[in-house]
Amino acid sequence: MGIEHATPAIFLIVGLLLYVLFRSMRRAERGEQLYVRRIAGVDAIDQAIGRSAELGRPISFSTGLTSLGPVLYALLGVLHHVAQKASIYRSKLFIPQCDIQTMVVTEDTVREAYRSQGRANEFDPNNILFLSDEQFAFASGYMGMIHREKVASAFLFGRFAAESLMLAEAGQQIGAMQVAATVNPEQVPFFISTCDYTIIGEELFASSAYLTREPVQLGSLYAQDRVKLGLLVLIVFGILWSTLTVWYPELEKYSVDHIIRTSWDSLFAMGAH
Amino acid sequence: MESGYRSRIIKLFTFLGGAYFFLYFFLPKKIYDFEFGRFHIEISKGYQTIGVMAVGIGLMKLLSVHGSRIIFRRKGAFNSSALLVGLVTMLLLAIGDWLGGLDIAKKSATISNLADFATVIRTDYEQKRSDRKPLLVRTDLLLQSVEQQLPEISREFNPTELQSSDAAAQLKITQIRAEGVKALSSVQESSVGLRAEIQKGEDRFNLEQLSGISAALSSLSQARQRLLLTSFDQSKLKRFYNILFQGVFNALGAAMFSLLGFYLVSAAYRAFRVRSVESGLMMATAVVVMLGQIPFGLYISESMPAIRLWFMQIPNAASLRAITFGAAIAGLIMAVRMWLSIESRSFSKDDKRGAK
Repeated sequence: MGIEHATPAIFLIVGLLLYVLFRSMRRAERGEQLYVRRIAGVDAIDQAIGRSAELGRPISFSTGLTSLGPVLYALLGVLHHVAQKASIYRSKLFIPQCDIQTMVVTEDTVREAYRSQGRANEFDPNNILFLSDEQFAFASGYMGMIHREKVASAFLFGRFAAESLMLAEAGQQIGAMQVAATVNPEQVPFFISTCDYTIIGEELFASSAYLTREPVQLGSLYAQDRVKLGLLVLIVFGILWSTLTVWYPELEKYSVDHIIRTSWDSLFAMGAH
Repeated sequence: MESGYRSRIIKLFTFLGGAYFFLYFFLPKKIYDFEFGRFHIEISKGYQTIGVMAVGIGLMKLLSVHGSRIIFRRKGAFNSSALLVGLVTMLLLAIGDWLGGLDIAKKSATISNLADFATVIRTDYEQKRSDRKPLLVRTDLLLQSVEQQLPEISREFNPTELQSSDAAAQLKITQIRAEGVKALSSVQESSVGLRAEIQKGEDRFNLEQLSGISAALSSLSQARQRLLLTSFDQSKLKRFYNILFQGVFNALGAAMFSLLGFYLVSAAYRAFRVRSVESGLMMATAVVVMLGQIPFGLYISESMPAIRLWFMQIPNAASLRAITFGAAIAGLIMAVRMWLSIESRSFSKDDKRGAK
């Protein structure tokens, strides 16, 4: 059973999350060394860009079916990095799009990346292509584009559905070096079997911090790891407590699940008593 | 300066928008008499409306990219012109289809509204509502409206009015027409009965007659809607639209989807080449899962389906949940950053570090 409305316990957990986030960002801004483990897929991003520069062939960066939201925001850091490198090496960068709102944001990011390298005049908005908002029409447009342009490197970052295998196979057919990153677990096997490197789930959120080493991104990455650890402890504690209730049923009302589900109304009622 | 001012406005609106949804989720549904989410549907629709504005941007982008390709005769100009012709044709047909549907809905609503009105007259009378006009006056108004509509509807159900060259469609039209004519005569009968009651001038009459005319009007409305829809389906516009949408667009989508089968085989061939311990494990697991899925697995071992189920429900589900869980927390942190505009300098315009 899901929770439609936040309960006091969730309010508390989110409050703690905010505290950890701000504290971690402050630590990162103070210059403390925050360890970020190596992610092979992220290391491969620069290799893929270098490869396209060596071959003199374009790069493709697809955001798949990603719409406006945290996933898009997470991958913009990577896109910015790729666009900066593409502008330095004067590689053509194609960004096929499936969502209009996403297209506007990505265009702004790429323009900014070129501008930051002092090459704003080399930015071509026509390379940010709106193909279609229909899943398979987009897939066929993408496949046609990378076949025609013979891209050397293809990045598939964001949300993907059934079309993921088509996109990745098309890249495989032309021998492109492919790096994929998705938060959709059901698409991960397709990418693993078809792409050279696959960034899985939350690693997508970490890749931007890994590439830029910026305090805001490093701090939030550090915070998310700490929060995850905290929730893991909570899960283990909840399992142990639930196991105990088998022998001591009266403990049920103090279980983690029960506490999390206790609504504001119940809390007010308890207060009134 | 202007850029900073604009940026502050964007941050303010982002914060306010985020704060509303944050509070909507976190505050109790009702604090004494105050209901925070009273206008939630309207606010959510407002957000959707802002999102819809981006459609125009997409259209402009398509026109500028492909239009310039055609005008300057660049590479791919022929494909671009095909795309733009398709776009305009589909746009016009979709508008025509939408307008046609709107007209049918409007015509059907006229009669169904009258049916509802008849029910309301009865309900109001039974509830003895003093703020309504007298029963006879309202019934008279109802009948006047019905009598106004009937000639047009009679014409529509006339056998010479709507014809189709398609035998199946013609049969359907004939059947609907028969139902419509029956409903029409029922409405006329009820109407005559009610008119007679009104002419008696008594304060009240058998209210079942109102329910009768309401039911007859509902049947008539449904028959009329079906007749109009069937005749619209036979129109040149709708046929052309169906050819393009169902015959071309959907068929192409299905063809693309069916390609997945071949790609799966190709990907599986690559994935199942045993080159390392990990790929060996993956291969072994895949074989067990596949054997557990098909009846042949039972010949090898009766516990094959149970082993498959264990793989799917324990290691597979656990890893999927771990990925989803990690991504959800990372997404939450990112959402907080977006809400509070704690932006990364790497892609914000404030960053001048790389500028030359």
